[in-house]
Amino acid sequence: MRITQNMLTQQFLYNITADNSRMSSLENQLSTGKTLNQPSDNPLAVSEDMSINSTVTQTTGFQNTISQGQTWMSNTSAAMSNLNTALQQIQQLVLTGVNGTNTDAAAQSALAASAKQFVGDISQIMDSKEGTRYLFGGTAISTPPSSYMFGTSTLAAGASSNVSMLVAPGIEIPVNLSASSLMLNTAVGATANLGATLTSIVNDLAAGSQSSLNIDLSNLSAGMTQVTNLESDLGSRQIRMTAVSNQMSQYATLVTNEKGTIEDANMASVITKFNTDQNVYQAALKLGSQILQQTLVSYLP
Amino acid sequence: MNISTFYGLNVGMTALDAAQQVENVISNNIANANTPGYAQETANLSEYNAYPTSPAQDALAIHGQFGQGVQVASVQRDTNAFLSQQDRSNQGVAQMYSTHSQNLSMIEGILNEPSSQSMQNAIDQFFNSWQTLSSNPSNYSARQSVISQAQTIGQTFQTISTELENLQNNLVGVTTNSVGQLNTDAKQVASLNAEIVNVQKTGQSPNTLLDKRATVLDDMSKLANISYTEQGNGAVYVNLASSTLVDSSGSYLYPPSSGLTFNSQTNAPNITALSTLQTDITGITAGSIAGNLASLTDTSGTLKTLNQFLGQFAAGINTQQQAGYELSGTATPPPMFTVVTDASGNTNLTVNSTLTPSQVAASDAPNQPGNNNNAVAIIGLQNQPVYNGGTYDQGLSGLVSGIGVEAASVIASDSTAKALAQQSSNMRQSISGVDINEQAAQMVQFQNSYTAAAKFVSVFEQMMQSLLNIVP
Repeated sequence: MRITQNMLTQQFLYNITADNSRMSSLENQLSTGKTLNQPSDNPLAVSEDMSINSTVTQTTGFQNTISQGQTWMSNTSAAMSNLNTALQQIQQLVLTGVNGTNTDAAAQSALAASAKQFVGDISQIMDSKEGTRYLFGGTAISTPPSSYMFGTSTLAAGASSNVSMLVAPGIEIPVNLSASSLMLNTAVGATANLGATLTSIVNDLAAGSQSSLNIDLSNLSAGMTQVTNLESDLGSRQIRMTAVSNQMSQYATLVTNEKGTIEDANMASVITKFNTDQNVYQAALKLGSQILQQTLVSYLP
Repeated sequence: MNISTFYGLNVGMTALDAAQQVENVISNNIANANTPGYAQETANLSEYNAYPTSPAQDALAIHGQFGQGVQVASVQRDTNAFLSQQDRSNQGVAQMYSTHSQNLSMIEGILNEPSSQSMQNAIDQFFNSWQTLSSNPSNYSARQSVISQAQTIGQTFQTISTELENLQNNLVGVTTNSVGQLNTDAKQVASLNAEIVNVQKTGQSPNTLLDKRATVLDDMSKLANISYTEQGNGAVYVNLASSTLVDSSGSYLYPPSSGLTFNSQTNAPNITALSTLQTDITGITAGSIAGNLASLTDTSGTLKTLNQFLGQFAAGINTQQQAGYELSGTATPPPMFTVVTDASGNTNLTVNSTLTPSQVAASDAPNQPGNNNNAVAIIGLQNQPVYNGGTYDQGLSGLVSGIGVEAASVIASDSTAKALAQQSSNMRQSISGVDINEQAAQMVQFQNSYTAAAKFVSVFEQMMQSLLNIVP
């Protein structure tokens, strides 16, 4: 085949362009550290990468929710131990009232006053807040539980509902204990709920009625057992939350690694390829400059 | 009867003339070595008829026939019709793929995936803001953040739609202009045809006109899949699919549909609507016009998918939003997204301007500020097969990888077509191209023969001198 100068030039340019476009793609990979820069680089990997991106965002969201839930639960747990202490104090007062030999009015009213104070403490504990939200208010987070927990007014809407947090796709964990379940549910073996029992304890201590106090004492014990049961239920949910949290952070690591595998460039291989291409490119330039400038005309006198 | 004394001088003259003419052809070759469409010319030398022409005539006086010197019989244009045709068709295909791949890479750029700034991220962040809201449903700023993320979705997709619309409009413009160029070229071929036929009638080879016409045909092949046939009288008839562009009676405007008007200056059809363009310009399967038409199909397909996606997304979110309740009160909350159709008929989303943060429906029961069940239901939409049997995310990644698959295949075809075009161009060049070395060698060769002929004339002159010197 006849080869003309134009053909040499064109072939030279064609090859140099091919070299350049290869190097440009490698350069892109080197400077971004990613193999996927355009969907056409690897369409299937891109779609996989996109779904992983979305999983990463979701996982971060779930992790935030989990930590919010854990805060809520540990605040609830702290309030519960205060509640237990207060209830034990009241139990002591009732025992004193039942077993006591001093039946004078002054001692009775002193007992009643102490009991009233502890009941006030319990009201305060039940009105604990997380930010602006009542911890024990169920989903009626803006109504103070003390307003209804003694049965003096109707239950706020949602006051007995669970506050649940979405901690993983399709998995919700209730994070709260409601004042309604603590105070307004009648415990097994009791004849009155805890809220009503507390109210009657104050009254019965003041009145010094032994028989009523005995009933109150048994109701209080049953109520305290219920409180303990609910607290241990909370504890088990806390353990569950911790497990989900660990699982999520492991999953986040896994997904991030997977994302890396799909989109990160293998630097060693890219650099090696780049060096090879660079050598080829330099050889092509050198050769081009030698071949293209020479014709017979250069040697004619 | 004797042969003329100056016979040899005349033969020497023909040699000088011929050498000079060949040098002229060589100089034109060198001058046009880099001119596009130029085909190398070769001067064909032939010997003059012998003298005397018939042996009987003057046979007694002249013993045998003498050559009468040399002439340039023809100046031949070095081409190969088959190679030219093959190269033109390869160039057309290469042009189509390279145009298409450029446009696809623009679409990829507009979609801007995979990245942390584009549409999928907007959707993910929107659901993420609901996730935050679900863990604190009464929080005012979490509610505000849901509205802001919804606005981000609207803006992100609007930017993409607008850019795709711009691309679409540009492509329509470029395509009609290219068709105009094709028509102008066809007119030029028709007028060159007429000139070529006229020159050929006189027995001459109209090399320069042929070069010009070859260049125009090259240009036309890069625009569309033209086919052409050379006629005996030198004219070339050009067809595009089933339409005739040039025949014996001149050129015809493309596309030939009735009722279409053309710009009188550019010969471009007056088409602005995409649908008209796609129905009128059919049958173009190569060249940059075909590349642009294919890109138009991709662009409008992408827009259509986005419209469908946005419509279904807005409907899905709105339905769930309205299934819930506001922060307080028993009213059904207003929808979150308003679906707007823009001037080009594409879907844009805007956030309902009357929507206040307290109207973001996180609760599934009235008057329960701490209830997050509806927020959880909306987050659930992210992982449910609500969009064409997949999730919203899968819908978007399907769109992106669809464009990616097409771009990857066009890029592969592009590099194959380029290699083929390069090869066929080389084949064609090997016949038609000017080889400077070859020309330089011939230049020296005919310089020598000119020098020899001149020397002969000078020797002949000395011979005459010697003869004349006899006369005292």
